[in-house]
Amino acid sequence: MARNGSRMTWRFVALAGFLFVATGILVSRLAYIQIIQKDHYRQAALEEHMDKEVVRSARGAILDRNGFPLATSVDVFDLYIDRRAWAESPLRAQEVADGLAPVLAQQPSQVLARLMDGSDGPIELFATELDYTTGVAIREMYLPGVTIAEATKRFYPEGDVASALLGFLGREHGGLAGIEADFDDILAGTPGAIYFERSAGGNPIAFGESQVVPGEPGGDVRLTIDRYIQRLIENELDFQVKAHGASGGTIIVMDPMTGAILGMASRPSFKLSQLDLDAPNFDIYRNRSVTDLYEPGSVVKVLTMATAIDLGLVTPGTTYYDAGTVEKGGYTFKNWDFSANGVQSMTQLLQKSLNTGAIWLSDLIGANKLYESFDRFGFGDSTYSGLGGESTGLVRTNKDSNWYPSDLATNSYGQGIAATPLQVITAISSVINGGKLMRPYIVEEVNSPKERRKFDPVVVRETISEASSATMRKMMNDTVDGVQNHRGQVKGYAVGGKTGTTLVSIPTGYALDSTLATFVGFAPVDDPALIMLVKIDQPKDDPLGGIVAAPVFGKLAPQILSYLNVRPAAQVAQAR
Amino acid sequence: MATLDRLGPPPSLPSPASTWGPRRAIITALSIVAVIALLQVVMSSSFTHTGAKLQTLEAQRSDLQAQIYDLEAEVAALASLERTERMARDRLGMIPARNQAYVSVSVEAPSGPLLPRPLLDLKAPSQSDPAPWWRAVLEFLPRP
Repeated sequence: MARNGSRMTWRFVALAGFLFVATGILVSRLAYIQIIQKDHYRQAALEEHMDKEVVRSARGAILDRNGFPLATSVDVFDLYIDRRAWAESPLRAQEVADGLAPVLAQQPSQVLARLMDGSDGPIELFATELDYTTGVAIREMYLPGVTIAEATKRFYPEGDVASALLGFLGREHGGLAGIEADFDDILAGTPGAIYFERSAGGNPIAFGESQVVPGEPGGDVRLTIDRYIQRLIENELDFQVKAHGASGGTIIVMDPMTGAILGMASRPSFKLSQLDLDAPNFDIYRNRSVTDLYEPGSVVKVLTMATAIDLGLVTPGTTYYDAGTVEKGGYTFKNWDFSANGVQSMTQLLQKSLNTGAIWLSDLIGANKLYESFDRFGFGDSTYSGLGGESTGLVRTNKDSNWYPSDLATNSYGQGIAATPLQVITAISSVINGGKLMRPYIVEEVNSPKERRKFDPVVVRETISEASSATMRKMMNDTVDGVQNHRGQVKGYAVGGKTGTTLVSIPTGYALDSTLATFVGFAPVDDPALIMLVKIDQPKDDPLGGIVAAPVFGKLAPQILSYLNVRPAAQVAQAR
Repeated sequence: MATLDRLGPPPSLPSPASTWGPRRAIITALSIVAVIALLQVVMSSSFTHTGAKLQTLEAQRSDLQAQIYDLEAEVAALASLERTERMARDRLGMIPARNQAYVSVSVEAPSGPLLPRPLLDLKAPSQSDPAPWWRAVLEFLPRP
């Protein structure tokens, strides 16, 4: 009988079964990876194969009120070298040196020496901020071991004008101070990105998959600053500080009707062209017009007088008796020139800047109403100008535990309170512009791809009535034009103003040989187009505001008024 | 006796021999595969070429944009106050006025600012010229 060859042994069945199960497991695993987990592995593969390079967007410009750029950006190149490209072939280094020398305006031997100096490692940042033409020329030489990276550089067409206002950028091209920092989110824009396929070594694969996500360029910021006025006041401030041997100074020019800041300069300051971020003295980077506090002195007599006028307590013709001294809270107060003038009107009080008169007014007004008035004028609070680092100032009132009755006396003529120059000019502006405290502002408009935003003048509150304001304008006009040979007078224009001379406060009291000489002036009286604060710190030759600061107003005001097309008084202009 | 079944179907004719031989089928299949493969190569090549062209154009655009920034900066520098003053002093020999005189004239002041137009002020595009006569005619034609 023939043997049955198709009989399956148990071994064969077991093997078949095992293979079947193993295949089933493999197929299940494949199905799991390729179907159920496909998104996960696809993402992992993408992350492995794709890389991203951030592309910085063009930074917006900072413009003056007429659109002239104060800060703008240009494309530049940074040059990197990789010494490994010529490590085994010095002739290649010579080739690179010969190629780079003419475009870098150096001798080939100089360049070669740096190329061969490996003390900083194989890869070195060889040159920075090469202009675009130079960078393109180097790029097109295709020199071995030489890489060009695109970068940007801030450029200041007006030079160092408005350095403290504009601020500066850090190494990562972000704003660190000034407008550059305060409006960094607008100026910087949104960076873009290039997604590209990369090799195992991390290098982009030529003709591989790539996608560009465009960024958004930064927006432009247009300031209220006028470049002509800014340059004018900066040059004058530099001259005055040097001429008087002063430690510094501040000049602010503002439109009193709107609060727009037309010019703002302070010294000491820094120069954008000589920026050294490693310098130990960071004090020079602050904008002293808004950060530094000082005791305003006799300029505050304007506010005290305005309060008394507005409360109906006095008129310009009201008189008081000036005995030369006043006793208050156990202290004796005298006039700044130790004079005793007898019967004086309110206008004369301002003309002669009588401390005794200010104290007399403060008694008339009373502590509560005087400090309420100072608060209304903005002392002790920020102006909310938007400028970084702004100080709020300090006013000790009768509600504070460390207040004394003698403080009312000193505060009435501007000592014992601390304010920034911007607060002072803003307060005086409200006295002469109809009684409106305007929010000072320095940014006129922001223009970005997403939006165009204009900033309108903001009236914070009313400080005094329009009638009181008109009265104060006349009295301040009498304080300047009504005083013979006053150094703040301007030929052809009716001006008003007030001088101030304060002792510099020190921890133990006041430095008797050191003053802050100030003057706040405006013109024309009938329809003020500008108000200016001049403060010269610690002049060595003469301490008085009327001698040091008022002439600065007298010199600058006619130039600025002409520039602003403000017509002089009719009788000054001669008909042909 | 066998009768002719007139109603029955006629006897089927032997079918003619099939013309699609194995050789022809193989050649046809290979041709189709070759066309598809060639199409792939052509598309891939075209894609790569377009990608390269795009990269070149983007590089050109970056270059042109950089040139624009450079030129804007140059214009701004040429219009700067410092340069203007330097030109006035050095080239024209001008000096600051010592005295200022105001003279009334019976002429209207110029309207608008006396300063040069802002450098970066991009004017709104002006009204475009009216469309040429032939464009209106074209619009009546049926579009493909």
